[in-house]
Amino acid sequence: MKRFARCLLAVFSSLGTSCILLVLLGLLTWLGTLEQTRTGLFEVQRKYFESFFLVHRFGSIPIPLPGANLVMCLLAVNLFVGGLVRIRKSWATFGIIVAHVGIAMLLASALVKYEWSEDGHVTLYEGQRADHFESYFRWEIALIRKEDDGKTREWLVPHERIEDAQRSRVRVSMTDVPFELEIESLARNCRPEWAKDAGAHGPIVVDGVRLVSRAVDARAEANIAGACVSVVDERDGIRRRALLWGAEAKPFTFFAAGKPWALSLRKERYEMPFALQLARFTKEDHPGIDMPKSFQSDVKVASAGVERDVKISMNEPLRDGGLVLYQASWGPSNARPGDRLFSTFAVVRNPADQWPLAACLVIAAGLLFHFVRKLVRYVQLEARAA
Amino acid sequence: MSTFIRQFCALIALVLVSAGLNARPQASEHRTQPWSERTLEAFGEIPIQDGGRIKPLSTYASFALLRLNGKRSAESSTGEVLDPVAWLLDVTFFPEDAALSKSFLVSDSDAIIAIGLSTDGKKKRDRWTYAELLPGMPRLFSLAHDYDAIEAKARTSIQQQVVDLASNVFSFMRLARSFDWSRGGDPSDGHALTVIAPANTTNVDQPWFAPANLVAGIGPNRSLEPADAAVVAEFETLIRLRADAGAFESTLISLRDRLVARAMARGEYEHVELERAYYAFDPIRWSLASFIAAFLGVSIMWLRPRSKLAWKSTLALTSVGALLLVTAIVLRCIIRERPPVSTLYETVLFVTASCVLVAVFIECVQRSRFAIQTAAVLGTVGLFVANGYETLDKQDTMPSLVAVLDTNFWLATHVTAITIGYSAGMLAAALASFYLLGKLIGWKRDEPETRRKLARTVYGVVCFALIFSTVGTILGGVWANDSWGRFWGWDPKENGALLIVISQIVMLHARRGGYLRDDGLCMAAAFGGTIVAFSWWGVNLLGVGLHSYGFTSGIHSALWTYYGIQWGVVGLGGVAWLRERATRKNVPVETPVLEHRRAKKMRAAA
Amino acid sequence: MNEWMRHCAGLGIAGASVFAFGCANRSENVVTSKIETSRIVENSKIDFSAQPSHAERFGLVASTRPTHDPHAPDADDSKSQFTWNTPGGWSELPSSSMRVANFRPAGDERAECYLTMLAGEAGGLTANINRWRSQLSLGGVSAADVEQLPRVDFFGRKAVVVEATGTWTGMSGGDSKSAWALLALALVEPGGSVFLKMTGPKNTVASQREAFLALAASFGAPGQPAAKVDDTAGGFAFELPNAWRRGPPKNSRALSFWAGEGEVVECYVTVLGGTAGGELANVNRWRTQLGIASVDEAAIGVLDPFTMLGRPAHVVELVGETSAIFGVTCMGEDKSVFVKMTGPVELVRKQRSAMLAFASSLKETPTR
Repeated sequence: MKRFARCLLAVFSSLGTSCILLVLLGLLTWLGTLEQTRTGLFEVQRKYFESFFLVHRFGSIPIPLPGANLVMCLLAVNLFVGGLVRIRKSWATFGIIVAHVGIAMLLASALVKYEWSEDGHVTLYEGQRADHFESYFRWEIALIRKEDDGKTREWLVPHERIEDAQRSRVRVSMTDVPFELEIESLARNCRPEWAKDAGAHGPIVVDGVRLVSRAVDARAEANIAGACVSVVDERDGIRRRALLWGAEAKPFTFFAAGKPWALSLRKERYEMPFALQLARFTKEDHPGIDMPKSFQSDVKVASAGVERDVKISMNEPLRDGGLVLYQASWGPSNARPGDRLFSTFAVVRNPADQWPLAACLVIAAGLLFHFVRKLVRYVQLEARAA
Repeated sequence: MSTFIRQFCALIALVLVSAGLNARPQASEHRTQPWSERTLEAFGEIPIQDGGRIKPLSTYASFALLRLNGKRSAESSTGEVLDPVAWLLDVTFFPEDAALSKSFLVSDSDAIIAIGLSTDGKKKRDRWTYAELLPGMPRLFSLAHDYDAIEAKARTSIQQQVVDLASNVFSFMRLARSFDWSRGGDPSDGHALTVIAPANTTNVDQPWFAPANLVAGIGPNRSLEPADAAVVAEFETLIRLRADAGAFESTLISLRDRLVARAMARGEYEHVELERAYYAFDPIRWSLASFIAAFLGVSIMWLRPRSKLAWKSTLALTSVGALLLVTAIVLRCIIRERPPVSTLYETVLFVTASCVLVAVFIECVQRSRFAIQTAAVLGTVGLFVANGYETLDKQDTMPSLVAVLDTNFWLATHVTAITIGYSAGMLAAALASFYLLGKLIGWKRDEPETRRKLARTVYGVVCFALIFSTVGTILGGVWANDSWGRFWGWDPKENGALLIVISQIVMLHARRGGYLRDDGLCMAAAFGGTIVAFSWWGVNLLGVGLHSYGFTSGIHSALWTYYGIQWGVVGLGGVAWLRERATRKNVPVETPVLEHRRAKKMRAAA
Repeated sequence: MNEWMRHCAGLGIAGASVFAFGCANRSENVVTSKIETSRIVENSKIDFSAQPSHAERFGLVASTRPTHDPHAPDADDSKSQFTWNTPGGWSELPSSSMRVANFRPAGDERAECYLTMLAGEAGGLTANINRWRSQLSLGGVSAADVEQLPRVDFFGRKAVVVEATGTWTGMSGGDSKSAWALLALALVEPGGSVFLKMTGPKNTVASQREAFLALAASFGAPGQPAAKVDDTAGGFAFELPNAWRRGPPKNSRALSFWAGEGEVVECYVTVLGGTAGGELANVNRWRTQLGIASVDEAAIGVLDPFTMLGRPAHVVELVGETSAIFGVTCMGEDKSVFVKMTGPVELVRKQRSAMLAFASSLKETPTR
């Protein structure tokens, strides 16, 4: 047993393992890059870079490969065991060890970002106000009940259940809710259409309307999800059916158990610890051509009754309350001079925001130390030989 | 018979051209003598606002003609060779003459046939005049409009050529109509020559005016500011006096002074003269000449290996070439007030300069001769690539930048580091290729120390490359995080940079683990050159992601040529290695790890 | 070799274990889930009392606001010296130093129409016509040809009507466009020249020909009464949607239009005294015209509400085998107004929002 453990340790700390894992990572990176010409970035990211296992098709030949997630986990182990613990410690390897520490920091920040970060966007026309930001790709179904004091209470069916709904029916029960929701079907990309008759096959028709599936768009944001949801009230056996669509103008409202409710399929929302209002958006083009030179938004940030004015522009984000807001883009893209413009902010909540920069400095320091030391010795050697 | 028809057609063409270009029906003047030196100089010095920046008219004309004609000169109907400024003078002041100059390069005459014209008397790849193309123009524009709807990647070569030709003809027409307003035409055309700075404001974001813009301001109950009116009046005088060379020259000089003064009043004329000097001196051309001379020196070094003179002159010429190239880069930095690398063209210049400088440094330390030879070759090849890219891209090489790129800090740190990483990677590949080819032909067969020195140099350059590639890649992520909130998005360009870093780390780890020795390392480094090329050029051709700069098929073929050559070298290196293994026992090189293991085994056995 | 095999075996085992760990459950037929938490939201803008239909929620039924630009509010008075009547459906654009009056015909972004004035003869009539023709990649015409062109009244004098179609290259900064047309009036005199020029896609120019000529006729110097262009008729004022044209008048119809291209989809306004037999009867009458079964009173309650002429109304959509009726019924004690659009199913569907915009723009004008 001890021999096996030692053998395993030897394997994990060996340079050969490092080489194999790095080559695998390089192969995945290369295949993933080529694949992006056909499939969108979002899909490729999920398949090649955030998975543990995948099958790559070379023409019609399937080639099973480990996913980048798996490879990086193993690399992390290899780095720790071989590059930090078991490596010989001397001045000759000091620089290397420091560089390895930096890489470990980089891998750690990647893990933190993957698990504990939220990102999305908030889009505002001038004068508009928002207190939450929305995901780019993740959906949720919100069940909303009107409370007596004019506020509303929401129960949220998370994105993971919505993904499940693509393959099977999903039944959701919620605390304090006297009925259950059943998501009968879900399409990742669909559009509504009039339906004169409900055919035996094909999408469900409700209220003379049905949602027709479309091929998943390579540009992930162009996909509008749609779901057929039933409100199942066990007590009175009433089953209300509704179609929910990602781009609907209004939610589905109904009465149950003497209270008004609403159902909405929308992008996942994340609260911001402040309210954001766009006061003014200015865009400057290079003179005479249609190329943006700079754009900036003047916003008001309000929290706990205090309001302050902030400028957010390209390369100058707003950092507040653990969130970072970046000037991401603007629109509409076919706006004519004088049209009303909206400004889009990318919002990120990432505890590991500044870790990569620190990691970079550490790696640079380590590598510089190591190679400058080697270079100096080499130059001295050559000078002595000459 | 055919001559008569040709003359008849030329006459009809002339009439149509007159109508199309709206020349005055009565006095169809022609230019009777070449433009004088002072005229050309004065016209070239006039500042124009184009592409979002102020540049001399000579730069504008130079790139315009390059785009239309594939070279910086045009042949007129009288056989005169026109430089870009002279050509632009013709197009704007004597459009009827310019219509008969060969201004349009068509690479494949099938495009001409497609628009319904005959290619009699023309080669497959030839230059055409506006008048020759005029009868086919309705069909040209109609076809171009249809082909434009097809996505660029899906167009055939002929379709792309038709689209390009239509665009070029359209540009020509825009320039030719610059002074239509003085001939009674509609001033809503001919806005290309934006040479008049706004007079009443120093806001640098205000667009400049073409004479046609100002004229459009004249109307019932509306008149121009006196200063603007004076400029328009001077233009009118200039146009009227176009046939009188002497009067034209003096009026043009006066107009130039007026326009330059307006630009100076706004502080926008600072670097225009420097830019003119830069293009006039053309340091890149002299640098290339130096490198080619050094290349000849290299061949002499091979013919006479013991000649110290050959070595010294090669070293000197390479250094001069490097110095000129560095001068060019520095001048460009000053003119554009930006760090040295901001466009793909500038990466080529910078990579060439770094490769040569590092190689010269290595030579000075080692004096082993292979470094300087590699430097001369890289310098020559690099500048040829730069010139080729400039012709292929057909745009001003000092453009304005989109908002996200317009930040000097990140351009100076991330982009410079990555570019140095590219150059070190290419240098390592070049040195490694030298090693492999040398091994094949038996270079220094009886001096294994020199070969080992070369292999160690490759190793050293890879280490150097690793630092800059890694730091540059991570800084790119930090920049992206600061701008958009995501450090790494698996974008093709990011992936390319990661591939370079991974390949270099693998090389170093494999060498340390004993899996790669001299030969293996050189083969890997040579192959690494193709990874650098893929990251540098290949990802832009994919047309995906944030770094998609545009589609150029010339780059595609050049890139695959390089891939082929480099893989060929790696293959030949493999052949040489196998041959060596077959002929004699392989003596393993001691590396610390292997030694440690052997010692451990011996202890265990004992 | 041994060492390599051990390496690979070790990695393989590690990989397999992680993979097994990362595998998800096989999906069953029904996935159940429980949501434990909920949250309070302060300012939700949901209107719980409204019960919008699916069609309304998904935007299949048009919003009830007008969809095209109202007449541009400010033609800068200091710039224009003339008055004119902008044709219905045309947008006014700000005038520029070159364009004394500037329009977007029929709201089509690709088309433009503007009035230019130049001192003197501006190069001459033939030269200008040939310049326009060259912008359309056409050859020139002779002065004799120009003599033969038709003329109309413009500013109290005779102007030449110029029409041409070709591939447009004349706009600076744009790419060429095929199937482009030009319709222009050119008035060239030694004392000054005026041009009214409309360019755009062939179909737009053709369909706006009458509007163009009406606009030309309406130009007047200040102090002169501008010629009136009729967009009031039958006792109503309205805004005519893009691509709609006046249709054949009929006795019972207050207004009649062709909605869209060709003469396929008809839309007309009928005014009947009193309740005209009641809403149900009228709806059933339409249903019979389409060959579908009549309905009872309950169905009326389900019709979508609408507001027309400041009064409550209903939107009725009926789809038959091949044709459809889309209408607005506005019942009143004194009179009832019906707007009815009929035609092939798909084409009617396309004109839905335009029809609703037209209906909401209806205003009663005091009878003269």
